[in-house]
Amino acid sequence: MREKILEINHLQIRFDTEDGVVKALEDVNLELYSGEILGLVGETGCGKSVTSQSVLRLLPTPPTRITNGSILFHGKNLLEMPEEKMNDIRGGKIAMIFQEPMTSLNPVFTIGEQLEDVIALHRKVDRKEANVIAVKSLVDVGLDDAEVILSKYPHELSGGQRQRVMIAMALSCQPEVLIADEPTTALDVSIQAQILSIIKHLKQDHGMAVLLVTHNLGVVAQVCDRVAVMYAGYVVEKGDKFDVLKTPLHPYPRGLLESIPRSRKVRELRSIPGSVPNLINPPEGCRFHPRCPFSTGVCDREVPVLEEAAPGHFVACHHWRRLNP
Amino acid sequence: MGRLALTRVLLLIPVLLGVSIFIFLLMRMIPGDPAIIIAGENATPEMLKEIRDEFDLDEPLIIQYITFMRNLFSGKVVSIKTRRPVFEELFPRFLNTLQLTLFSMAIAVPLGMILGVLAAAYRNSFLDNFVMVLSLLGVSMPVFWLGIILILIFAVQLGLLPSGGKEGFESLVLPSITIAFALTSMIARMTRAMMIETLSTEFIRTAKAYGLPRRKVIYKYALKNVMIPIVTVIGLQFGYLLGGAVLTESVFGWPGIGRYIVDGIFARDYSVVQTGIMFLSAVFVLVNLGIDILYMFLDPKIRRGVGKS
Repeated sequence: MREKILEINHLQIRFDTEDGVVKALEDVNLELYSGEILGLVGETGCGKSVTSQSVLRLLPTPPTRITNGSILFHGKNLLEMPEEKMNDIRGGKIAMIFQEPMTSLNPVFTIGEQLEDVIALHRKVDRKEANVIAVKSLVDVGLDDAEVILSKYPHELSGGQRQRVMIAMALSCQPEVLIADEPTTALDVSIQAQILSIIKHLKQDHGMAVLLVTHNLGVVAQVCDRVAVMYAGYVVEKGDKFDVLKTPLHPYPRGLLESIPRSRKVRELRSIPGSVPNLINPPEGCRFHPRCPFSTGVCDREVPVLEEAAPGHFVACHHWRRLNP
Repeated sequence: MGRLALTRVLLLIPVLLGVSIFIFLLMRMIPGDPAIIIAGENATPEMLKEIRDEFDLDEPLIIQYITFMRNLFSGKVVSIKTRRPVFEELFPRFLNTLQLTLFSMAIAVPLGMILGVLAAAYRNSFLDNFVMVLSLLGVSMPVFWLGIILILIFAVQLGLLPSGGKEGFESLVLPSITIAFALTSMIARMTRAMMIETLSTEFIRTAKAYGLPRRKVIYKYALKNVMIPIVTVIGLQFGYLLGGAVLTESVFGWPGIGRYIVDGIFARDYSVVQTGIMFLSAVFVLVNLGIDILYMFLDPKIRRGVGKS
């Protein structure tokens, strides 16, 4: 049986801003099983990055307030863990890579200095051994001239190289979980494919579980095993990749899939009407109802619960039965 | 690095040429005749003519300029007022100013940076608020006023330190503190602001995401980034202070270069002002060269070139 490594339950997050309280996350429920890649998708501002950063408690407090929920790693709640223990988890057990490889590395230290600091910390080795591990990690992600890379500064590398360095940093400490927050968004398409295949190999060769945050459904189709779709602070649908992408139950992922331009047939490009709601005053009830073509009276009053429509396939919609006869 | 230094030193030539012409003309535009100022209101026409002849004051401007430049390079510029070689007077005064500046910087740079970093690290704490209020006072309080207050307390009331002059180490203390207070405040505020900005960058988030302890994140990963803008401010202030903190020097009767030049202006002592300003310009350019070399140690983008691999 697959083991649940990471479990996010009823996560609710607020940001205090000058304009009011942003209700960024309302009720997020996710689980990551060992050896799988879970895609977390949604539009900009739906809370997918917030969710991913909250796992390692990287959101600055204030303005962030975690008002409800738990994040369990092997059953232990990370949200209640003392900072010192948390630092063993960060990088050591759960590693993270970010969207901007340009700015994610410190500009005034060499790659070697940064990698070896992290390795020495988590692998409990001296600088010399850390260097050996760093070289091996860089070779693992396809940077063959590792020694040269280690002596360089971030500005001397290309975007793709930098993202590989970030992945090498992640894998150098042999974590159980990799959280990749839009790892390919800032890269050229040709580099994107390479980075995705490296992430896939990490799963296969190192048995890492990966939480892949992306807004790109193509990326999900390419590398993920399961997928969770977020909308305005809720997980609205989650399940096996094929189930969700082939037979989406919720109107939002349906709309998303219809808005992907298909080749060959030149048709009108469809889009979901309206835009992402303002999360300071989000819509009552189901947050998608103002944009939903199927909404009825119940939708603006009651928040739909996430229910299991088919084994392992969850959806949060009042009308999923009616829409999917 | 050698090339940078050479370029800068060569750059001194046009800079000094420009400064010399500018300050030469500026001095001639100020009303007032040095001969009358030196010889006094009741001087006879013969006395005035003697002075004017001696310093070529009746010659055409171009001749005066050339004569001045020739004397400057042979080190023979003579003060109109004291009739002593300007370099002999200027240099010891510059050393006095240098001493005061270095001593003030030695207090202000470490103190300002430590306070700024701590204020940023413990943002919104009591310490942070304390540093911010005190440094606001420091940057907004007029230097001469602080100087007078310090004299009142430590020299007049308590009798602990001399009120002015330059006799031994004690007389260095009050003027240094006066300058250092404003300087510390400026550096502390700057450091705090830069530190807060740096701590919210993505590479600091990376360092946190990889479990590096907070101390290492602040004092290693963030601080080195903050050093770059801080060095700029410190360097500019250093150059500025070497120009003589005239007000502080005046309040404490400190025989520095700033006061020397200001006295020269009042006396219409063309030789002193022209030589003094050119000397300070050269110092300023050289200080900036020093900062640029320091940059190369701090910022790999400058040291290793952008985009080269």
